[in-house]
Amino acid sequence: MKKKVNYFAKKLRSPSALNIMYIPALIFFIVFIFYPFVKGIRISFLEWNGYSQNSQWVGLEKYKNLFTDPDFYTTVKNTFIYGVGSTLLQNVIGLVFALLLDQKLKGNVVVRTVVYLPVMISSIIMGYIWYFFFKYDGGAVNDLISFISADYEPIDWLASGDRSVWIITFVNTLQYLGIAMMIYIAGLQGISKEYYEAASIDGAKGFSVFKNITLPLLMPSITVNIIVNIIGGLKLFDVIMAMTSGGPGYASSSISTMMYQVYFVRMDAGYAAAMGNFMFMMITVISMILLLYLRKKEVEL
Amino acid sequence: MARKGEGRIFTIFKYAFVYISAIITIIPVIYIILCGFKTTYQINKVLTLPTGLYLDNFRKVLENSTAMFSFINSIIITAGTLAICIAFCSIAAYPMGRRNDKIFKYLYIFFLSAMMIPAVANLAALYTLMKNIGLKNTRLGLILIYTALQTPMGILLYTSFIKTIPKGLDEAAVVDGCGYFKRFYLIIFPLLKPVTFTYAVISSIFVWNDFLMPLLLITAPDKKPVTLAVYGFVNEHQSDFGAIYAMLIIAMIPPVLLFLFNQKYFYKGITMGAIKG
Repeated sequence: MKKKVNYFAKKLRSPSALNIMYIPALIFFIVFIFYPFVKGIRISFLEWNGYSQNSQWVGLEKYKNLFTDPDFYTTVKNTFIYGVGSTLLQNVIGLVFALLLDQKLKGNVVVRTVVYLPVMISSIIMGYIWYFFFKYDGGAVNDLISFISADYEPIDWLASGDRSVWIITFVNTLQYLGIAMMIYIAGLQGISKEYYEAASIDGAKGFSVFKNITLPLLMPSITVNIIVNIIGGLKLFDVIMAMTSGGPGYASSSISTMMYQVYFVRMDAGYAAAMGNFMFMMITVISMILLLYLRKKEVEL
Repeated sequence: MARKGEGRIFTIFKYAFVYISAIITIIPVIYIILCGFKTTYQINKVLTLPTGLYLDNFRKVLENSTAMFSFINSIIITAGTLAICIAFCSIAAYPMGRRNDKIFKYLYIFFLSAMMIPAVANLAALYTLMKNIGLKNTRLGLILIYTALQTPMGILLYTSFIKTIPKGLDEAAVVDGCGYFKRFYLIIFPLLKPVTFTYAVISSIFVWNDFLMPLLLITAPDKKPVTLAVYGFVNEHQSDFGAIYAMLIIAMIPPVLLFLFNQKYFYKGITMGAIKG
């Protein structure tokens, strides 16, 4: 034993000590990310309420439930809308913003700050702020419309699942628009002016310059933005909790919020873990396919 | 795109689009801030402006002990996470940025690949783990989880930055007589200041704004961080909108101030993290 201690003491004083200092970071990482990940796979095979000592091995039953549960079907559909919808909107609007702000525009810096500011605010707070806009009773949107037109019947905007899903997508888009915009601005600034000069000598203008020069050269930024946004959108949680808590029923749930409900309210730990693994697989597969596809586009230049 | 003579209409359209969309993104925040200074009667009339400096709503928040404690908790949690993250990630990334051994390359990929694992996907297992090791309902538990969650980002930022520091500086450090750790923290670490700052601002926003982990792990009123306190406050004060608005306003002040005074670092962090990732 003593020998071992000496060995470590010596090792710590030697120059190679710095090279093993990744170990503390690695331990944190393994305990709080990797271990729960592996443990989650095991839990998904159990019938367990999440608290008691007793659990029962049920094999793949929880996964079978996933495919027959109509609520889960709705949830997956919503999660897709949150992911794909916000990604499309954030990228298109973010790119338009970046293109306009990249030019000399009065109030450039102020606009940039204003658009980026919501990124800083917790999404639970942003969710509540927008909730008070769309709320039925005394919500700003209803009051505003009834102020404009006298015979307007107030709508309970968040009562219908389908409408809520799109409202939440819109809220998420507006909040994180700034990130897409900043990445595109950085990408645009990285494109050498020579390309544009060459293009204008060749007589190209307007849209054709954008299509043939800006867009291809912006491909790396597009890749990053799409991947970041799709991962963020597919795991959406806070905004939904603030605006509808996933309701009515599971009509506006994402997989994340449904998982939370299933674990803490329905106390079905196995089912929640199975959903978690499904979600992980879904995010990994979608982002990998997108990444490979987009990277290929980058190479084709 | 230098396009000249495309007419006034396009320019007007351009300005209109930029300004109107920028206003749409920020109007809810401004609306809430205005409402925070309104009386309940005025809040029900959407289009009125606050008539004076009405501070009762804010008083209600300041009198709520959970709300006030939550700020202290958030500060403790954020500061604790930052301290551990910076100390461990900088030194862990050092060999990854310097050495070409295969092991460091694999480690780097291992750390970064975890950026793909959404924390929420493991909530069942994470909750069980924290309960079993007695860290449920503690600030320390949150600090440790956030440290783990912010590790990939730290490794990424530090590794790419260390690669840009000339190696000559390390050798100058070797000549000096002190121990290796002292050497790292006294000589190398100060050189990493720009990236440390970027990492610190980005991580602190993440930690300050996170809602999921406290929702899972914290139930004790005196341990709640700000986001969870907001959630509790809104549910408690169902109909007292003035107080809710005041709480939302107070809760968003710290990150907004941090951003307004350090914009440069945020933009740098976003683009740096994004391009390498």
